Amino acid sequence: LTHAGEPLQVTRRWFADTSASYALAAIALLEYARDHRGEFVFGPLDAESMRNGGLEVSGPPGLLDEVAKMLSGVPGLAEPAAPGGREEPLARLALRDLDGARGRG
Amino acid sequence: VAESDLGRQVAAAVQTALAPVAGYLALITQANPRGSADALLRRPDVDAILIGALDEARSAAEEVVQAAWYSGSGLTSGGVMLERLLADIDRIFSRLAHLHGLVRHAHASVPPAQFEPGITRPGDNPSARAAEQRAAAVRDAILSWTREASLRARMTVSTAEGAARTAAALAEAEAARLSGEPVRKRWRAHAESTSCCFWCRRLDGVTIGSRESFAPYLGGPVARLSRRPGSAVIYARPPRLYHGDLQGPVLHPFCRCWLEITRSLAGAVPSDRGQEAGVQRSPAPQAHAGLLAASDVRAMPEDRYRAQLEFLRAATHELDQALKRLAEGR
Repeated sequence: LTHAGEPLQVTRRWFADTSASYALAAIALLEYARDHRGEFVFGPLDAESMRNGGLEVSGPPGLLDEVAKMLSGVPGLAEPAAPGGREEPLARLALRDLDGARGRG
Repeated sequence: VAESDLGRQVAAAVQTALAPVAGYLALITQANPRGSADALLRRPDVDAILIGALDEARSAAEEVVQAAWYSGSGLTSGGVMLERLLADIDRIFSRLAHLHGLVRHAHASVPPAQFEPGITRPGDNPSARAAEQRAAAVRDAILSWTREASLRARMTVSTAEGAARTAAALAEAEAARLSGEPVRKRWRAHAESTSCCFWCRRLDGVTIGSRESFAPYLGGPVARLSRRPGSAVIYARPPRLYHGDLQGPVLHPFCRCWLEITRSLAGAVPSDRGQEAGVQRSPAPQAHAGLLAASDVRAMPEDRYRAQLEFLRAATHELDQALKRLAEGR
């Protein structure tokens, strides 16, 4: 914690609707990292994460606010409202329900 | 531009040595309205005063470069780098033939003028007026070269100061390495400063082995769009490296970057930057498998970065097309 009691590093998570959204978010993060000075870590950049759409960014809270602002322009990318909560996008919930229905059928 | 006291000192020393030469040559030129540049330069006093001034400037600049090397760094020996810097100073002030050429050119820029009965106003002295203008041209040529030489000497002094700091840091790293410590070196830049250049910003935070070169992390030429809409594309090329290597700062004259030695292999990801001294520093975010640090993205060579970006864009486009085709039932 800082002297003001704020966390030094936080992690925020985003979920992409599709792999294309995930790739767009990765591009946006690469470009942001290249053009700005702030230190943060993002990913995971692997096939599994691309499939489930999960993307997280860790860094100082102020910087992450800027990153969030930048990522808000990426179509199909959503950040769960509750901090730390893992709210999945509607499309993914719908897909899971469909899978469940198939399993039951 | 970061100008140190030593930089100002060398500028003053060069001016003090060479400015009187400009006045002396202007005086002789004005006093000889019919004289030629050859005649001026053949005079033994002119050559003597030119050579004397160049020697004086060279000697003063060498002293300042040595002071710049030893004073702030605590180094006790010069090595190859100091020899190169002193050779640069020698080259600056060994240009007697170039100075002769400048004087000839300035002398010829004002042609001789004579009194022409019926044309020239009575009482006028065109020859003296031309000599006055010629003298001013000769003086300006020497003063202009003096300013150029002074700037070059300041650049060498600035390079000496930065390179000596780096040499001291590298000596410390080498001692630690020999004692078995895992040392790495990290490029640090005053990235918060508006005068910090694009290339130094790019290197800021790059952490590599103590014997590696930073040159591959500079990347190649880049095309950058200005943030202001409608403004031109800037094509930039990294500065030419001093003697082709980049073991640490400085990247260019008046560069304020410095080298930091880290004693941990886990220091590949730089700590947070831009915080003022005394403020508690946050630990660097640690990169795990599949995670990428922003500093690693900045350290990526330009061609590799562009290739990755293009590949991702192409993949996104292909995915988009495939999804559209699926949606249309094709």
